[in-house]
Amino acid sequence: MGIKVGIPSALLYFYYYPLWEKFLQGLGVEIVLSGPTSRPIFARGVRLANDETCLPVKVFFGHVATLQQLEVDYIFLPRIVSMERQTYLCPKLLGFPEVVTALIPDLPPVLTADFNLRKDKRELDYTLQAVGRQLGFTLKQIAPAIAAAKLAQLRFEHLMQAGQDFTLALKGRGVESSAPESGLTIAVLGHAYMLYDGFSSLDLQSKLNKLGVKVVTPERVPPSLIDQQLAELPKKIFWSHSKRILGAGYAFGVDPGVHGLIHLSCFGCGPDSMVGDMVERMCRRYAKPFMMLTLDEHTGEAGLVTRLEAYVDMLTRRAELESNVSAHG
Amino acid sequence: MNKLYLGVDVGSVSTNLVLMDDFGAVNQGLYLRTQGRPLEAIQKGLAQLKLGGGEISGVGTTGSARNLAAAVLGADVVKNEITAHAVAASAQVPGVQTILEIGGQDSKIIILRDGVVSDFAMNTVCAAGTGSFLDQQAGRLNIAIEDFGEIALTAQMPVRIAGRCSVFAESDMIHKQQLGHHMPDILAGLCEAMVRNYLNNVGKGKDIQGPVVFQGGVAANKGIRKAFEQALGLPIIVPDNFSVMGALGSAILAREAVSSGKTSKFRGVNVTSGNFAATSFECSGCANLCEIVQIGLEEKVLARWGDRCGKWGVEQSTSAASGASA
Repeated sequence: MGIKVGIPSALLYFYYYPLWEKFLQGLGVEIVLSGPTSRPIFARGVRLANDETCLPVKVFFGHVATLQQLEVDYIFLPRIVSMERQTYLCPKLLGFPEVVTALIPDLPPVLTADFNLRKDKRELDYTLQAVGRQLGFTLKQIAPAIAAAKLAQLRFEHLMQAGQDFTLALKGRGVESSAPESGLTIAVLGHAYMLYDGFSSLDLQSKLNKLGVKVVTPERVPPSLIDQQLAELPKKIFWSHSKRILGAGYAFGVDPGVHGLIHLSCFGCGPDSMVGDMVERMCRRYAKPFMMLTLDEHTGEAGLVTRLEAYVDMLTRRAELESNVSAHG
Repeated sequence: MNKLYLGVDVGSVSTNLVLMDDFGAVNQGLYLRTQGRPLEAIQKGLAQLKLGGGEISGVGTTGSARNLAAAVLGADVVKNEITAHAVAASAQVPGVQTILEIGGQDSKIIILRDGVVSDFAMNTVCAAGTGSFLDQQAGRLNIAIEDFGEIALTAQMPVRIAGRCSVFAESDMIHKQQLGHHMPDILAGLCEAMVRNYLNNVGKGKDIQGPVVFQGGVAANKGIRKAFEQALGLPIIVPDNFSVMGALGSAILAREAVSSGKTSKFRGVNVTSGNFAATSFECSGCANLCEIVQIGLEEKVLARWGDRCGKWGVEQSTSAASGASA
């Protein structure tokens, strides 16, 4: 039996899993995932996490504790400081390898490394090499795994840009046929670990789909368009994920094919509080309907459903009115 | 026989029923306390309705228990509170551009332009500044909630009370009492604090333009009404049926839903005698352990909800759900 590495299906999993997966598989390592967030995982997380943190971090604790029970040789807890030039991740995420090991006793050995690409893209190779060496592999064995991993990550990002469903894109499955677009399109902004975690987001996307709405997310927007949208800002946004959310928000805001924007935020998220407000101001300028939804561990479904229904009702009535106006004008 | 439309709004604090005639006039409006037992409140309300020779030809439900009410009554339309309130206000005050709604546990603002909702917001995580808090404070000061507004209007110099959080507001009020301020000044101060809080939180960034309609149970409070007028510098209209606007909106939507000659799904007024029961169980099908709620009439299961995967759905509940998305 080879080495078994446990990966929490939470937080940065939603951004970088294809990279990690292909890299570890390329080394012949077996990956054990904690699986989709469920009630028991969530309950474990809330019990273990420090109380002042945000919902996604609490959920993450639950995933780590779940892996603890699955007999793995290592738990992969990378510290991702920066994945692109001149940006950082949120401090809560930077600190989590230490916070998690301090708060969850008797964890299996932690496999970690600092991913810091703020100054130099080549750091990615060096960091992955460090991870591979911790597992006892040679540079010669590691090099092809790195190349394959980078390709897989790139493919995943392209698939997301093409509008593929998150779970399918994660598997590298290509977009088969694009369904004819009709009805309302709503852009849902937020962190990937909220948007694509059905449990944490209270199935927001499928709820909207059931209301007959097509959903687009920040991962649809190519990085070049995001940079272009943010070029006018007096200051650079230095949180990488918030940069994507804001740039995508601006792009969707001016896109006539997007009927409204929803910002799905989690209670206690510092960057969200600013980014959300900036998107809202932009929406007001372009008279685009905007709704902010804040989720926390106690959030009830009923309140969410009411808001979504009312929002979709509003967009439908507006769309009808606008098409009437243009028919007469 | 006269055609009547029944609108039912089952909220956390109150359950309201409206009987509306074919011309949109309110025949009867009932405001009942839900008291945590929505099923009983609906049945009690139905029993109190006087049809007077009319016939119920359409039923609409709204409020946080709208699906429950729809399953029990057999509703033709199930709509969220925002839409229902906007529909009712537009009917009562044509040309309305802003709706301020403060209910028992939630508060909302709805902005309309050209008769269509263009923006809305609801209070977020906290219930500070809603009816329940006023109720609680009136109880603590030993005054009837009905007299609250009148007393506040007699204030000479309203005191300043922190309205951001109901816990702070309460300690602030106690402090002002101990300093010897008069009751009317304290009550008026509380009204102003609530309005400030509402406009800062719920009304943040909203384009408030007249005509402004104030509705929901709290609109009965003249002190709050005056505080809104002062803060906005606009006249505030409180419609006749301010406390049952959600139910009225549902009745209007019900009339719309059956306008094409459809027969109502209404189970009939004898629903009151039926033995409805809500039971719940935990589904052990997967790790999510969803709590399933099941509404039954005698032996028959009318509706189930609470499951994330949809495997517990029954036919009636799907019809209610499709009504919600219409």
